[in-house]
Amino acid sequence: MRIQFLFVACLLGCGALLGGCRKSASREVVIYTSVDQVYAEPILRDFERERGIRARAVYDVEAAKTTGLTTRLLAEKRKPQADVFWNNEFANTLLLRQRSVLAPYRSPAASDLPMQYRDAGDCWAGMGGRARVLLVNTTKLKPDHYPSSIQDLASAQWPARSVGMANPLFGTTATHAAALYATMGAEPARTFFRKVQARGVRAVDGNSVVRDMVANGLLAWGLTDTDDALGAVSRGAPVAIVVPDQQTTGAFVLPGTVALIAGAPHPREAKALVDYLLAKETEARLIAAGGCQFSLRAGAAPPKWLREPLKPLAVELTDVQEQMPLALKDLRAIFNR
Amino acid sequence: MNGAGAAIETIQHISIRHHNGRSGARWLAGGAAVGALALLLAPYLALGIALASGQYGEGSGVRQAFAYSGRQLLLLAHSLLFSGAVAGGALLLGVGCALKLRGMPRLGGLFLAALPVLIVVPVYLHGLAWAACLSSLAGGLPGQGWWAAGWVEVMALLPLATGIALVGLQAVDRAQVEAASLHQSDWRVFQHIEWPLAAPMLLVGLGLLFLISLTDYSIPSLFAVNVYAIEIFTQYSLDGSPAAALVTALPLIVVAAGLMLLGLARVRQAASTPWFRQTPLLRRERWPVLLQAVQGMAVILLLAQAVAPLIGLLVMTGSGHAWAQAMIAARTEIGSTLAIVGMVMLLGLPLTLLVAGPLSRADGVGKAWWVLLCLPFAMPAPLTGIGALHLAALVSWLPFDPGAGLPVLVSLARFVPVAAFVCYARQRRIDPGLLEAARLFQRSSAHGALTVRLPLLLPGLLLAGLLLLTLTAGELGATLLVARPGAPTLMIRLYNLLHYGASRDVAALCLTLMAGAGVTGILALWGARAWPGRGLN
Repeated sequence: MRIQFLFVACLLGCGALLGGCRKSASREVVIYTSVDQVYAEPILRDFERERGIRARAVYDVEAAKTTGLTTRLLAEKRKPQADVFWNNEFANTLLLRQRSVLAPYRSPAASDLPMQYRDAGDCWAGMGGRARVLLVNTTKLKPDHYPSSIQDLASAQWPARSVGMANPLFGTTATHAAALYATMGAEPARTFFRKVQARGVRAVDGNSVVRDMVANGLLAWGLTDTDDALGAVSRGAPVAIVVPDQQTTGAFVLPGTVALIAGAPHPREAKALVDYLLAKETEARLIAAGGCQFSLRAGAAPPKWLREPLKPLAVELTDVQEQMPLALKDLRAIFNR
Repeated sequence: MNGAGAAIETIQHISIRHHNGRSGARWLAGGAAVGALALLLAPYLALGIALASGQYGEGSGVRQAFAYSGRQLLLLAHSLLFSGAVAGGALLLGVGCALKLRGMPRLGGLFLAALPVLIVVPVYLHGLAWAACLSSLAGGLPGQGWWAAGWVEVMALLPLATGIALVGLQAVDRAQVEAASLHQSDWRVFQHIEWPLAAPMLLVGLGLLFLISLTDYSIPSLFAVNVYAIEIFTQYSLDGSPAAALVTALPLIVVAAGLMLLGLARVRQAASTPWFRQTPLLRRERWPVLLQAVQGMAVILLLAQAVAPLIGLLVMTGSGHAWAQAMIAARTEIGSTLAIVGMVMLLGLPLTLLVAGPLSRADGVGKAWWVLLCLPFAMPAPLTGIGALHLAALVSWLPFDPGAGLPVLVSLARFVPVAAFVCYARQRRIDPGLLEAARLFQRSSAHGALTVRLPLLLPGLLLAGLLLLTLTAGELGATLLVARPGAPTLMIRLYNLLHYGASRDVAALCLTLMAGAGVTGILALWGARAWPGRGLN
């Protein structure tokens, strides 16, 4: 009898717990973010303190490949749970824009952003940028042997087994590949990636793995993002950062993006958070913390670790997004075998 | 009427009353079991409804996904071979370990208590540790390719394989083995009696290991090896369509479900083995020198797999202060994880009991039950998460926020079937005579279930609970899609930190997970041994 009573009590307890999980009436905003938790959390805590609005975050992880928050936002499209999407890149934001998941909102905080970092329909705006760079192990290579271009991935000058990049089917490496398709043209880009694969360059499980393998001397150099590269530098690893293609096409810069979700449950609070995230000061804080490395604002000073201002790859973000399906289809056939 | 006649009349009266009560209770139990199964399969049903209703509207993407290319089929063949070799290798080593450990009861007990500790750390982290180890062994050269990936995966699966082998060998009727060993060497007895009797259970274990390997892409990715599981994610990246991803996953689902059914059917056919008559090993076994060497090597590898991560994590964490700091920073995630695990245990164990019951049925319903319960084994975790999101949208009319329960639901859907099969194995080891005897005098079916059946099942339930706990604590793929805003889990934080490169915090969190799983494992083992009913069988 006592056990039966306990069982019923447990079930009632569960019900009460679930019932207690109803949305609270206090001011709050739900944010989905793929920015690393270590960078995003302090900014959101400050927002809570300054604006008196509770920010409840859902974070993404690199291990989920591209099936994380974008999948969730698409699946929740009919009944959104999120108010704001803060993405550390732009490709998935543009995909969500295409699928009508985002709502237009012209934030006053984004008024000083150049037009290429704002959506024509105001469905998203840029926030901080990262660049694709080459990370070199200084104990493995002398400065006169450092690579200087993305094209060096296909060069026989460096043994293929000592060179690495993240699997180009996912994340920023996939976006970078689509950017190369957009700037080089499909056929030359396809040929380049075929060469890279054929010579046996290591395609590893993410940019952070490239960083760690270069830092540990398992690779002589690799292609990664600036936030990963600077992480290795700040931890004292024997590495140097090479910004590629500065004499030619330029380095690929990926802007982060902030967007309001269509049908957001807390629209007023969401707009307050979007304004806060897009503010110049917040961008500066994120740069200082290491979450991104470049301000998207015109005339912004280059980061201290760069000797000269970075020359970016001239490519329209929408062109990159358009090339993505073709690039991924090709890369799947080239690399997934 | 004499005394004997009165006794017979009393027993007949009890039997008739019991029979009448039983048919009603059977309907009630059947209904509850169907309800429980429907709850577990609800995310998949919701996903099916979403796809059938054309919510994704990407017909061409799905049609293209159905046209499997030669490259995909070749990749699938490679993956099947790879996973087959990994599962076979892990199980052979596991059998070697189990044969050695069963002759060393204390070490065996310690291993069983430590098993959850070894399972709870994500295989990816084992992979990272072994990758560093392999590269240092190779003189700084990066270890990669099929062999390196295969080796690391075998090592990552070895603890589980050993646990499966221990359970499989333990289920063999010792009386038959003891009788045969009077005339033949232990090796011959093992070859001709023990191995064939344990084969069905080991085959199920092989299927489970094969499935884990087949659906994992993290370790192969680490060693730059492409496997079919990564195709699902690639397909999703192409067009963001869960329907196309599901179609791409279909060959894996079919192969996995087929293998599980084949293995489980063998177990059902082997029902004649009287497991409940099992007796412990009473004498010291004598094996050929070569086999002794293999067993010794397997145990050394198991110890390496068990001890190396622990030492590595302790060294990486550095100090108690660093550990405490990591814990304070992760207090929200620890709280959310504990809440989810607690709810999964609370709801999962009754659900396990309910869905495990019909597995014993030999009719068509029983077979269908096996098929349906095998389905979640083969479903990629993200698809479970997507299904759960659709379910929440379908039941949004409920008076409470259904999204709040999704992290619990996805773990229930993914792991209760595992727990149910563990319970089923335990169920088969219960002497039916004990239940029959109790039935004559129980007040009601519920009374009988609570006072006799449940205590007899308890060791199995403890193991099932332990599995639910460790698997839920380590879940990421589905939880990531349904985690409540403001309540990320420990595993989400762990992978986030891994990306950031905070190895000290990652190590501290892993140590905490291991400690939690270890304490629970010891408590469960103690509970199973201390339970008074265990002497009955």
